[in-house]
Amino acid sequence: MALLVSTMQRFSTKGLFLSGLFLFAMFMGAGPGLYIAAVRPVTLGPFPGFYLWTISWFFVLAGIVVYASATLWSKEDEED
Amino acid sequence: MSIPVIVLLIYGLALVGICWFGYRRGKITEEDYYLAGRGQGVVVTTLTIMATFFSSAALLGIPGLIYKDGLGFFPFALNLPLSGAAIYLLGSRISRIGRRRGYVTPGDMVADYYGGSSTIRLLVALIGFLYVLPYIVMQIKAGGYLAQRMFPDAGTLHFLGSPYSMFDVGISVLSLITMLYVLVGGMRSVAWSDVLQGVLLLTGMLLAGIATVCAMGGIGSFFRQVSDLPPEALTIPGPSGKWTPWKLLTICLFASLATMIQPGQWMRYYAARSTNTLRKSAVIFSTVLPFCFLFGVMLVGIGGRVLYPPAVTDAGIMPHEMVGSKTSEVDQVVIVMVQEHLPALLGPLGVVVVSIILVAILAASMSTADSNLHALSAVLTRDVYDRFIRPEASEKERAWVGRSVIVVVTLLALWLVKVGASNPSFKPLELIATLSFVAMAFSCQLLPATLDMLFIGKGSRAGAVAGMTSGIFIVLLFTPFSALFGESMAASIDGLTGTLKNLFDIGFCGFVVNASVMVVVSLCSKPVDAERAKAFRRDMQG
Repeated sequence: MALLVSTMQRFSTKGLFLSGLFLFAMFMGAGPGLYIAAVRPVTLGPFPGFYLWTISWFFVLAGIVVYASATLWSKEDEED
Repeated sequence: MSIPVIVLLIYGLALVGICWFGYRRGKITEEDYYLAGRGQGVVVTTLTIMATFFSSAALLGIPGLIYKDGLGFFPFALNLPLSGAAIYLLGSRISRIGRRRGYVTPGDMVADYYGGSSTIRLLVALIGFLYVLPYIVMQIKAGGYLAQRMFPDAGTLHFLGSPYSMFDVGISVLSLITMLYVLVGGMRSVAWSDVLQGVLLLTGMLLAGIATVCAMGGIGSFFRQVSDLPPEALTIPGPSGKWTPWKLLTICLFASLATMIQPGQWMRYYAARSTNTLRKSAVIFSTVLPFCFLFGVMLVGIGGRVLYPPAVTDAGIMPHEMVGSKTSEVDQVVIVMVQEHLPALLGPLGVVVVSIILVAILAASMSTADSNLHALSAVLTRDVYDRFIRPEASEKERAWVGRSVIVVVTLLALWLVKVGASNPSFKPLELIATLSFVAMAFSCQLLPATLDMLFIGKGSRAGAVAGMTSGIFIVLLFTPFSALFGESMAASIDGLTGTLKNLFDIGFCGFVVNASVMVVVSLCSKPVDAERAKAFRRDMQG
């Protein structure tokens, strides 16, 4: 636990929040979150619900990477 | 001259040009040969990382799995934003310190951090080798299958009195051309050919998806037909019952990170011009590549399932007769889909588009084979020959050894493919095919030490050695090597590993043991020298 706390202290609050959100999106899109959307076939219009579910979480994950790059990582690069 | 031949010739000529460019621009130094002078910009870095990441699996294997297992395998694409993020999160630290300290291989960095340990350097080299060799063999084999499909009427060719099938011609041409441009131009040729191959790969993935949707009547009609598939093809765990949520999650988390720290990618972080380059590459990778998957080539697999439904038999899931005659031939679905439907949809232009997609598959194979050959050459030369065989070797001698490694590994891989294809009683390919599934699991065993070195800083040298050794041992239990423990023991091991394999990614299983052993042994052994760790962190963080 002490190891976890000391490692986490090295990262900013925003970095930790984005990491948590990213893991949550992975958990929902490619993990146990699939029990909500992919255990029985559902359609929304012509689209299978499972496909739309995967696409939605892809946009969340990609959005987090783009946001982290524009805010956290670009700041790190400027300090370099 | 047929259109596929013309497209192939244009591609071949472009590769020759790139090889010449790499040779002319190169300097005769080890750093230049392996890292192209550490000056690669955003376009080259992004496309070479993408092309190295995706082998023929991108255009053959993954659509094949979707053809077999339906939408159950779609969430696999979500590993790509994580892999993209890893390019910056891991790559920027590796790149900074690599530039400052002149590292060339992963072993240089890991061994330096843990106190110049020879054991660690050898273990890192072994993990790299276990990842790389199966991948080279599989790419060469894909070249053979592709040649058979591109020129089905070519028959047998005779050369110096010996008969050669199109499979033989395909594997020989792919391996020889790849070997030549890696030999001549080093990293510069490999990276620039990856640019061409990466563009072809992305174009091929998108074109194949768009063509499939158009051939099936447009977006609405396509998805209506997909929605009418049997329920098991639209849900988890899919018809084969393999894709449970925890297995998908552990694959997405651990297999992707393992692939991003394999020797070829690690050396690309060293070769990048700056961390800013890696940041931009991370964003492009995380957005463009999954887009090409989810809106491109993955749709071909599911469309193939609609048009050519596979059958569930006692032997497994058998492809439709149009796709193949063996369970392993499900991965031919992309080739069948584009060859059967594009010419009818687009007329003469369709033949050109089919040829471009087939050359894209060839490019995907070559781009992975070249990067892995090049990386393996660096690892065996710097981490083994230079450290343990002839430490006094000059730079020129090391360069020649590196080139010799490329020739030997290419010929070894070619021999394994050839013998495996011609002699049913000799089956090294079966072992290698099995190993290719666990290749990423081997690479994953470098992850605990890498995370400790880059972010945590609490592990010890003894902990890293014990962790990596136990991780490799655990992954070996998932391979046919478990037979070495005797029949009854092997049966128990196979039972346990079979259960675990159905629940989780193999690399994750090794990772858990590896990280646990590393933590326990690190707590009981001498930590990394504080001054060295501090200097290391300073150089890594800028």
